[in-house]
Amino acid sequence: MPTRHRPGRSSAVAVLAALALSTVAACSSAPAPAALEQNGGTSNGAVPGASGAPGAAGTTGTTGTTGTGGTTAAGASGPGAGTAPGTAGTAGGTGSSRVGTTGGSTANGGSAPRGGGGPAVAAPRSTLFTAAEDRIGITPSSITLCVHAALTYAQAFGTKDTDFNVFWQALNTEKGGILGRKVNVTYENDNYTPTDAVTAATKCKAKNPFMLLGGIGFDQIPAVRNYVEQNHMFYLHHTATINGTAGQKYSFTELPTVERVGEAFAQLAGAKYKGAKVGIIERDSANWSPGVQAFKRIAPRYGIKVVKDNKVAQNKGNYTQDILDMKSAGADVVWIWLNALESTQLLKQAKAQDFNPHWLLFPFNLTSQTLGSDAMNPPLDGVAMYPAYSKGDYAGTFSSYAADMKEFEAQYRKYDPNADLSGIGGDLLFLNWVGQKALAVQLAQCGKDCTRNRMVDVLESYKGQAPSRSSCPLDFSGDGHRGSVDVNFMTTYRSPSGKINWRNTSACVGP
Amino acid sequence: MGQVLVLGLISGGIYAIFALGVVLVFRGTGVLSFAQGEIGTVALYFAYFLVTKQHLPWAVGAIGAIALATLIGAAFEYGVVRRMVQADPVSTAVATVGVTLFLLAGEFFVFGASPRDLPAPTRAGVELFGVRVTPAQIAALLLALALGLGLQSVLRRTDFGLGILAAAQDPTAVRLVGVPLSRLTLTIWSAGAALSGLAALLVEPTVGFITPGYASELFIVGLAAAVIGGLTSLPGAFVGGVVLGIAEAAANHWFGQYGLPGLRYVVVLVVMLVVLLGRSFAPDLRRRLEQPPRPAGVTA
Repeated sequence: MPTRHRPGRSSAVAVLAALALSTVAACSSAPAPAALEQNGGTSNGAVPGASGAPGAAGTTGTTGTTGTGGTTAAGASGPGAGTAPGTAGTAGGTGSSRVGTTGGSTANGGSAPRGGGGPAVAAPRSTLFTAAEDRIGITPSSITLCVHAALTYAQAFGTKDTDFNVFWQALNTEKGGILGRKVNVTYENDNYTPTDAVTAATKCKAKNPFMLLGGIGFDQIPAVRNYVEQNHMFYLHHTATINGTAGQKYSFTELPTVERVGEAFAQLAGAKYKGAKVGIIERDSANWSPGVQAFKRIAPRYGIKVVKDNKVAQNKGNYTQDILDMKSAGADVVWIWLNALESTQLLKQAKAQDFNPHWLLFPFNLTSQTLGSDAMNPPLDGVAMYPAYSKGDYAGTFSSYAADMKEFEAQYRKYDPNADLSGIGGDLLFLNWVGQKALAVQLAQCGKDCTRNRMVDVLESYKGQAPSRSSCPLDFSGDGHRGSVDVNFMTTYRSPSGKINWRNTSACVGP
Repeated sequence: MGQVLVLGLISGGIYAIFALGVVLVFRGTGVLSFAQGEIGTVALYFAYFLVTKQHLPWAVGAIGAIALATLIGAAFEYGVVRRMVQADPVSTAVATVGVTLFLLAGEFFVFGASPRDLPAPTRAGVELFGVRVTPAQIAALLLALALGLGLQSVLRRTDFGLGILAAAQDPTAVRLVGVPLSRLTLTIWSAGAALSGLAALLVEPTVGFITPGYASELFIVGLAAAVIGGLTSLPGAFVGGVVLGIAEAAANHWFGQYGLPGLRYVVVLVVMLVVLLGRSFAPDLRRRLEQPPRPAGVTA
């Protein structure tokens, strides 16, 4: 189980994987799909056949005392992984007191994140979905998922729709799905706009999905959150602002909020460039600006001073004036709070102006590879909700999740050999794959009797555990809807292939 | 203020070259060509292919790009315009929209949506009022000025140029007097397309990356510059481009940091409205001003 690291500490134990187009926070060494086809210990919806590592069991003793967890035979383990029935959790697993309370009366509880097996089928604790809504999109033989994603935008990364389904394709083909259920995933293009995202969600609703997944897009998600609230859809989404979520019940995320990511940029700036004068070029949007407000709120704590803050419209195109503003303000660090394409364009224009401060931005290989050696002068710094990926490089900070990288590459070789993993979209495909894998683990944890309410239970039962051994911890104990505050710090480097890519410098950085 | 002027002249030079292409074609054929922008984008992709993929020198890439743009212009004239000789100019203009869409689809098909980077020919540059100005930007401005004046001179002072102007007004008469009309229009369409390729080449190293439809965004401003310049005046197109460039830079300087969406297009619209309204009211105003004062005591 990885530990949380503070900024400045170089650790690459694990990465919080976020997903780009399918949304779950992910993690690198999620169990092999083999784990997903097991069916032991499923009568209560617990994780089947976990790998025997009893996880971090025992950390919450109250659970053990309340529930019967840990003593049941099946599946006591950390969240997922493995094939053999786990040895009984010795100390009641990491289930929370909430788990234990229920579990105690239902032979549930025990292992993390949701107890071990038991003979009886426990009623789900969550009552979010009515009986009529609870089994939508799930049958004994299938699970239907629908994703709203910026498919048009993704094309700029040199990817196609079909490139994003390789994980499910491999899982269905090789493992028969999850606990005998084939996973059917369809995508609706949200065109990277809120209006189209709601349209996409509407189209998804018509397909009666078990879950609606929301891909990358600070602007789309708040609109869809409102929609799902009215339509009682089970929504798991990518990073978005916390604003406007008060009272909302149907949206969940395993990624840090926009506000938290903004804070993390301040942490990174403070850790690497203490005392620096920082300029900000930010998207002028109510869905983005909370990140900047959070940055400014904690910037003094890290000894950094914001000397200029320019708001820019989406796809402004010409940033020369903003660059000159930063230059004349004496900014020696500039935080670009824009999407990958905009950031790349801005950087190119800054290079033309011979302006070379330290740049902070969302790290995508699209930017670093397109800029080439310009991305090394000086190296760029990034904060991400997803793991770095550089094809074929399993050393250094990649080593902790190299097994996942290899598995990912093997699947693409088999099912999508034309996808260019070493190109500008390789990291996008990897973070998507990693997120899908984490979701698969959680769906398996939901068990054979999985329903929407049981899946909510699975999510909410994470209280410091990771969906896999090498991933960052999730913790839904706050409001039950947001499961992570961890990010990865990254920097550009020249990969063994000669391309300029990103790699982690610190993983699972918390507040 | 100096910074605004420098930035305005940089953008203005680019807009002016696009505008010159529009005016040249319009003056010579009476057709408003909407394909200029996308021809420029295709040329740019070709330069990218030659320079980045084939590792040829930038100059070779540039020559290849302009040659391809010229070829596309010529092919369009030969394959489409020549077959629409009896058609209304509006129909031909619509055909140029078709070419734009065709080229756009081709760009997506061949290169995809990913941004492509054509490196600048040189990293050199001089600093003026805090703005780093590259040789390509200086060249754009000077070329726009030279082309505006030069082409105007050619059109007015050479038989070939006069033939072009005459052909635009009465193609049948021109043909009857033995002027090779097809050669004239072939030249015009080719030259207009070449200007698009040139403009795109000069702007790319500083503004950003090549993506499908890239130069069309700039072309829209170039089109507005041509309209501001009167659509038939080549020096007017240059002036229109520079005016728009400076207006945009000024708006960006004072209002850009507030994140106003579509600021560029708002500026274009405002300047166009002012110029067009001014132009329509000007004769009336002049007439009123020139009217002798009404004698006192005389009533209507």
